[in-house]
Amino acid sequence: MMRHRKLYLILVLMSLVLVAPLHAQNEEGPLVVFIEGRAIDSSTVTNRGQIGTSALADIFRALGARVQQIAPTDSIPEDAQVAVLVRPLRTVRPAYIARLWAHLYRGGSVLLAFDPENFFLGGQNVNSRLSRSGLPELLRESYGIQIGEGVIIEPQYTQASLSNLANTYSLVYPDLVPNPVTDPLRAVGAPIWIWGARPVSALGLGYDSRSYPLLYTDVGYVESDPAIFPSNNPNAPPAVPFAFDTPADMIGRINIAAISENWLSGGRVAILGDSEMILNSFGLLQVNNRPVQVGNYVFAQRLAAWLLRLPEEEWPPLPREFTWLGIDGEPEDWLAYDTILNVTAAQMIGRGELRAVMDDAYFYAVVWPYAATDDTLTFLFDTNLDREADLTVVANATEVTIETPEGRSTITDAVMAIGEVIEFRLPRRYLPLNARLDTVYVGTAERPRTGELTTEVRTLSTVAISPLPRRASTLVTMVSTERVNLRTGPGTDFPVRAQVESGAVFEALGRSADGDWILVQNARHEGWIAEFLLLPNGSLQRLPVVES
Amino acid sequence: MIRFRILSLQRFLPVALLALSMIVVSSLRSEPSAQMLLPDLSGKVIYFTEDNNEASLFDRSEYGMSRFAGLLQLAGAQLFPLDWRRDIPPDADMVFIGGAQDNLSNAQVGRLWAYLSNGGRVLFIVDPLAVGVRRGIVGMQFSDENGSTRGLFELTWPDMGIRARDDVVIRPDVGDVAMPSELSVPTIEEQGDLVYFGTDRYETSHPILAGVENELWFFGARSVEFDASIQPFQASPLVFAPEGYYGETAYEEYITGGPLPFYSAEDTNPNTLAIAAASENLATGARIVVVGDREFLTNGAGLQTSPPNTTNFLYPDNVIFGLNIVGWLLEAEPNPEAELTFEPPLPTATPTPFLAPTATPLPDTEATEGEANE
Repeated sequence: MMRHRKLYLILVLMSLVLVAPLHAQNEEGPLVVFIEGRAIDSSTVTNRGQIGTSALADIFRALGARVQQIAPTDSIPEDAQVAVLVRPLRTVRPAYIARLWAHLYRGGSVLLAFDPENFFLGGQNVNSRLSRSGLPELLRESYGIQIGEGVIIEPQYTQASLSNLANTYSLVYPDLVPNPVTDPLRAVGAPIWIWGARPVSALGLGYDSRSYPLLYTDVGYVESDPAIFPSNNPNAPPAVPFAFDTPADMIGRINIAAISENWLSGGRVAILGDSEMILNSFGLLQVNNRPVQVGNYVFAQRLAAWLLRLPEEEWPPLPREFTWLGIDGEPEDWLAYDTILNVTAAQMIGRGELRAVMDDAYFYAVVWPYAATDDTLTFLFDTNLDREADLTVVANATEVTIETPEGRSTITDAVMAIGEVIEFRLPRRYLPLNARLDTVYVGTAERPRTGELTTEVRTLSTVAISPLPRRASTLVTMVSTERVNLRTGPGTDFPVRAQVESGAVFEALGRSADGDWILVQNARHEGWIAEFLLLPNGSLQRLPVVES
Repeated sequence: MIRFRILSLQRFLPVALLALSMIVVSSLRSEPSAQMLLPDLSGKVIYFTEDNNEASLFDRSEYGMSRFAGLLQLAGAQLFPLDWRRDIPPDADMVFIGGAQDNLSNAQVGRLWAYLSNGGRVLFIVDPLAVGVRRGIVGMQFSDENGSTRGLFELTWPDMGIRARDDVVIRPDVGDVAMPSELSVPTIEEQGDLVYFGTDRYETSHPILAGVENELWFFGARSVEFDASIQPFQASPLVFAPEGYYGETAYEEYITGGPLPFYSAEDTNPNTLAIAAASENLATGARIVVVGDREFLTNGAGLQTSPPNTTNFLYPDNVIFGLNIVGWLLEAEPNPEAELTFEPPLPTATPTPFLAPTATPLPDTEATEGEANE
């Protein structure tokens, strides 16, 4: 008994010794305060549900920060490093903004995510009245960031899709202006998912500050009339149709997020024009501990690190389970991959060095040409493993075509970049699992085959960041409790080409005449899926009718 | 006998005349010269605001505060206009808002609060609501349609226990005041009969009132509310309205429609009605003084002199009070080498203008109720 007591005591003491440093480390970390409360009806860190910010809080914690909640009427603690306000649905009073500004005045950082005014969330409309809070003027004058009014409307949107938040998803991309937050995302063209955004512009270099645009879209326009949204209020007037009206509405390259730093105070701000992009079950959704929208997750991580002023070498690494190969004509990102095909000049037709690799969605190739070429690459694949080339892909800067025994067609979602090297990316839906690379030509000069390449291209264990092309399109998400059949034609009597998991996202290319079947495509698959299994981000009736 | 008396008068007449002249002169010089040591403001930087229809420190007319600016500079302070397009500079020792008549914008409130809550010092002079040239109320409003406090005072009330009310302090007995008909707006002078007052009711224990011995004069004021309970701040009243004066909240209706009785549910209680108050937040070191009348420091009212443009101040205690406020805000000690002597005012051939409240010419547009910036 005595011995057991001593053992117990030793165990308790050991646990205290082990736990204490961890606890102390947490208490010493930078403080991040989330501004929440009924007064503004914002998202909360304690909410692990759909619209909570617990995932965002976890990102901060993973960077060593402590997280606290405060009310908007509270002063932001002097030792707080970052103040966060996400998705206020009620009036943001000038007094709340004044407290935020006091925090910035002493060199703090702020992350703000605001949805468009009057945006319909199902249960209520956004009523933050941000334009009357004083914040837009302060940000414009001291940080060179312009918070716009309005919502980005894409061509496929309808009044019906605006009535359901789940139907308002779309993609934006990292802006071309280099900045530490989006640099790796820009290199690979990673999309970021949004669910209805307002414009947020960066006004660049200015008095006391420099601002950077982070994300942009050039699809659609900014609708400035808030009356386009429906309302739960029975006394509210009906929603008005949306249409592009000059000069009130804006079109072209539209930014929806920006960062800035004020040199006088040292304050940093990050403004997002959409809140769902960093909410639990939207942009920061995880399945089996893996982010579904990896662009959103990495964006949130890097933004948090920037706000915490961590040295860049301490920023979290890019998730290893994804393929970080950018098609930009720069070869550095290939160095991280132990690829096959360090092919000698003797095997390369056209005298160059080739590397190639595949993941679940794409075939990637890079060529270091030894001499100037006309930058045309020709790939001969052996897809049926009979050691004969049966698939020819010809790629240049303007077009990528594919030739099979059945015919010739253009691949619109293949990508080629010519820079220091020539890089190429081909969707995997043309290549079966064990496809072999037979021959590669560099340039268009006719040359005889000098030998068989016939090399199996290594398939990586990583997955592609996004299987979607970068262009305007109606998107559909497959929603089902089970795997669903992707068929070769619009009907159940057509053979199954593949089975897809719930959550798979496709570009919708067309529909059957009756609208019951939709022709979908992404980098991995192309085929027909029943319409009722799809969650579109716009009208499917507007899709062209496609003969099977 | 009679000859003796005549001889006595002849001998004593010069003496009598001399005595008479002394009596006359002494009656003119009814007060001895007053003195004060200027606060040592050397090296202090004061930013003053100009964007919201304040009394300007550059303005040498009776509506400006150039004399007060000169006094501050004599005391060693450097004065700069504030650019609201940027944050209040870090070298600002104090911000002076000289009676803005237009509401501070929400952005301005944000910048001001950022400065104040981080240990800043602010002298916030607020003018009362007043009837405009055309019917309507002009002036800064600090409460919304629900009666909730807004603007800067929405922040200073919980954090510093001080705020101004939306009222006008008026005398209770108006039986002898000629009220105009409903068809005309009363003149400034007619309003002045209601709202001018001198008061010797002040908090003598506060260092800001050191050296103040006579009446302080105000020319139309609004009341200032303070929370003197035990808090992380110390809020103190400075000056009170004369006994019986109360805060009328329906001033426009009062002045255009005829006298209204005191309405306890809406008007401000006349007991110990503060016109000025000071507060210090013990945690941040922030200090603020709120004064409910701007004319108490303008050239033609509180800092009026007789003869004009001299140092013979009509109300020297207003000068002492104003300089003490700045000295307290900047924690400045009296400078033994800078003494200000107040010569008593002298009569002049032309009467010194005696200005009414809202001395700045009122805007010529319809005043609108509510926050213009919302």
